[in-house]
Amino acid sequence: MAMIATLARGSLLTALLLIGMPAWSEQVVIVNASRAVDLLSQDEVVNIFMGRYRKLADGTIVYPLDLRGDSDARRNFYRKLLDKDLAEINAYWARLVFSGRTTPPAMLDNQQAVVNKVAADAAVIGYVDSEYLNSRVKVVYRLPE
Amino acid sequence: MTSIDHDTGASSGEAKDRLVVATPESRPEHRAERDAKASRAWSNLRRWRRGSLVVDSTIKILLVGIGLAALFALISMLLIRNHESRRLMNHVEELLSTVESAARVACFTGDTTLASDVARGLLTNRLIAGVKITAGGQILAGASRYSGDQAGGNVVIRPIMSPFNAQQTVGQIELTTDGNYIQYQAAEYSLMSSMALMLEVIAVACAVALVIMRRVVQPIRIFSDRTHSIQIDTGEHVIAPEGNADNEIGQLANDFNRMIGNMNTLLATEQSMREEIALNERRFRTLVENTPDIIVRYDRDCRLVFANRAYCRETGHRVEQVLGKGVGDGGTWRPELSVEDYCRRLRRVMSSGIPDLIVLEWQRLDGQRVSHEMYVVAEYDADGQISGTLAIGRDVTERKAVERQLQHQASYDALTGLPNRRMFHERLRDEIAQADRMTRGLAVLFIDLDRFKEVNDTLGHSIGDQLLVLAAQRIQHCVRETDTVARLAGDEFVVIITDIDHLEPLERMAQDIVTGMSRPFHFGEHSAFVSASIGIAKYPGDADNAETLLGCADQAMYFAKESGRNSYRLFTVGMLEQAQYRLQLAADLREALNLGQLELHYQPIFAIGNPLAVKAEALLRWRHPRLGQVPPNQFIAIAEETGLIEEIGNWVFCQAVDTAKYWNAVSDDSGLRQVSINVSPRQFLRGNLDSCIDYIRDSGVNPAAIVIEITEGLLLDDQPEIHNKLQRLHQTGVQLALDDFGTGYSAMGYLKKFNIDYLKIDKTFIRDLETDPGDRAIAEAIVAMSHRLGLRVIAEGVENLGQLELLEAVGCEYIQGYLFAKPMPRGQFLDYAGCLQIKALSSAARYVGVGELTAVSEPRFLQP
Repeated sequence: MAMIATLARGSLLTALLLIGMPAWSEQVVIVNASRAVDLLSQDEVVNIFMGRYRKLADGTIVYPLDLRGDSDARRNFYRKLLDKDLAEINAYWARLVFSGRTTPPAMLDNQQAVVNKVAADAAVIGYVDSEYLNSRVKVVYRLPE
Repeated sequence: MTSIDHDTGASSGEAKDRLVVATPESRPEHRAERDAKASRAWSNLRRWRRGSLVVDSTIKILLVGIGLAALFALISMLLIRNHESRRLMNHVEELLSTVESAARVACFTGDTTLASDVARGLLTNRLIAGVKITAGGQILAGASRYSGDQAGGNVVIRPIMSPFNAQQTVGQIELTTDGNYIQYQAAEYSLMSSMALMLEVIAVACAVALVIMRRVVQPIRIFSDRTHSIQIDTGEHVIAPEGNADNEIGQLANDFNRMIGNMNTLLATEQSMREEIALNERRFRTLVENTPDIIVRYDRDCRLVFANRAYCRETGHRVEQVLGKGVGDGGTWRPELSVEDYCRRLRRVMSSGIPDLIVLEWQRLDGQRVSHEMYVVAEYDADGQISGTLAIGRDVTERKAVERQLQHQASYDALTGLPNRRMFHERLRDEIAQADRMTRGLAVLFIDLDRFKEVNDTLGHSIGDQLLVLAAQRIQHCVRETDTVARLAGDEFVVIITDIDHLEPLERMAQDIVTGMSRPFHFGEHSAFVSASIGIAKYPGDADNAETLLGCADQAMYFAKESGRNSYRLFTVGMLEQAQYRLQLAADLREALNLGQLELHYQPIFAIGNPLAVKAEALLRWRHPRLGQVPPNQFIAIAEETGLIEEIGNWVFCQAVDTAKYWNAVSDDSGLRQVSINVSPRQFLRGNLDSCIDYIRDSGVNPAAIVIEITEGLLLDDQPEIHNKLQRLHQTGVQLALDDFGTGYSAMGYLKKFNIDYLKIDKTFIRDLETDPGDRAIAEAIVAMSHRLGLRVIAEGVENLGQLELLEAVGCEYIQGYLFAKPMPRGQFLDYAGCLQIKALSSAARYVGVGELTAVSEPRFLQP
């Protein structure tokens, strides 16, 4: 049964990919364009977004921004970055929230708000689809397709 | 009981049982019960002893079980402890795994709170003694159960990976296990397991023991009890313990029963065999004990090992006197055969295996002489070795006696007890051989009793036999003890005189015998007179062998008899010649009749006072071509011996009858002329009287012209046949004259009985008539007696006038003799009788007148 389920899931995924490809554009991690940082590694992105630390290489602190709810962008982001679904991400944060040592990223309603926030605040970092990019933001990491 | 008390092991149960038994009171009413209990207890005790298999096997099973259990427990304890340690460590690992994701997050984020939570959570497990979570070189959390470092356990370090990157180590958890606890846990667990295992094994052992007891031992004990209680010989069977009929015990019972069956069959067979053997033994024993034969068994050393009843009866010894003893021990040996010889022969049987026949003769205690023929055979033992001898003795006393008697009879004369002819010949041969060795001489006396036959005839055979016995004794008295007296036959005796070289003692002995025999023999009121004629022959002088020697003695005896009896004669060669002469005569006589050599002469007989011959006696003459005239006394005896007398007698009879007829026919006067014919007793007995009578009738002669002259001997037997024949002759008309009267018994009775017509006085009385008054008296008596009886008398051998005168004086009727005429041939006689009547007349006249007689005087012949 598990195998059938896996196959089903695989085929569904493939189908989605095939179908959604034109619809989905590339997802990228963006910072304020003013930042000196040019490019982040995947680990750096993971550490920042998953609350390990919030300093960049230049020693500056950044605060990650997340999307609220179950949006496709959010789902895709964690999928592509950590290969985890949202439930797992939520459970992770629930455990940490309880101890109080760190906090989850601040949540915004949509990608536009994210872009806007990033464009406006140099201490945050967020992720959006590439279509939301503008000149005030700077792509520091491109999520793999 | 005491000993049982001290017994160990199985007997402890017995002791317990005994205690139960021993408790009751000793009131009498309970005694029986108590006894019953006691006996039950006894049987229980015995059963326990017997049933020790139960205890034994149970104990062994338990011991083995416990041992095994302990071993298993030990092994399992080791195994389980290791296993448990590993398991606990795995548990620790698993524990770590359960907190790993939280630890990952804590380390990833460096969250000490979370890390402390994790650490505390881990510490709640008793296995964990201490936790230390480090991330990036910093201790996030650290907790320990004990203060200090006393856990002594292992330290498990697990690196903690990033929750988002499995390759990225974000920290580590360092767990310290509670070593003591783990050890304790493992130990406890293994102990519990081992105990459980042990109990299990023990339980199984008990179960096995129980099963064995219930299913194996118990049935076996029941089976055993039943086998104990059954009576095998009654054919009772063991019933397999209940519920075991079809299994191995049932099979065992079946096998046992089959075995009992076989055993009973075997026992029965063996019993019947034993009975049969016993029966056979009894049969043989009764056979052996009741047989009249002696049965004895000797061992290798000739010791008596068995003797039956017959042995004891015969020998007069008790079994215990002789059993186990040697043949001659204790003087028990009586037979004449020596013990040594007997044993030697027994040993020879043992060494050769060849049976032997030993004759034992002995005198029984009651004095009876017995003979036993012992058949001795070798006896063998089971290995085929000779173990001794068996002797079976048959009483052959009677047989031996018969044998001895036969031997005696074969060698001795039954009547006189003297050696017989056979024995005599043996002795004679032996003595001759002996004489040859010793170069000595011996002699044989041949003794014949004279006139014995007359004794036999007149006094009977019984007296005759007695006379022979007495004669034998008289002969024996006259010879030495070493000389052999034997009886050859009838009245013939013979004596072997050994060791003699001179004639003188020999002749003395012979004379003694002659003298002894001439003495009268007395038998109560009877007396008998005989005499002996003895012939003597000497060895080696007269003959060189036994047969010839006896023949010579016989010959000499014959001569003694011939020369007047009552005397002895020594053998001479002349006797032999005479004997040969007689043999020759006998041979010639056979042919004499056919060759016409025999002729009949007639001697005239005159009646006194009558010059004419009125009678004539026919006398046989033999003119032998070579020897001339053979005297009748020589050849008549031979004729009688050879049997020729019958043929010759017939011829004489016919001739005489013819002459009588002719003589009567030519006689002038009417007086009867008689011819008398001598008939020998043998001729009279055997001759054909009918043919003689027929001949008289056929010839037509007057039967009264024939006179038959017989001798006294013929009448003595008084046989009816003779009487009958004489009667017939008398009836025919033939007259009878009794010849030689006076020389024999001269019995008067038969003179009348047999119708005798004439008596002829023997010439021996006439010869000395003139000189011997006794003879004259006899002649006178005879004549007188004859006249009384109505007989007439003829005197024979009258040779001179003196005799004639005397005879005439006593009244004798007829005269025969040379005084008047000698016998003459027929022709001459007829001439004499017919023509010389004148001469006869003149003779008579002369006799009557002158007393001068010129009669022919020729040699005188003995008359038959």
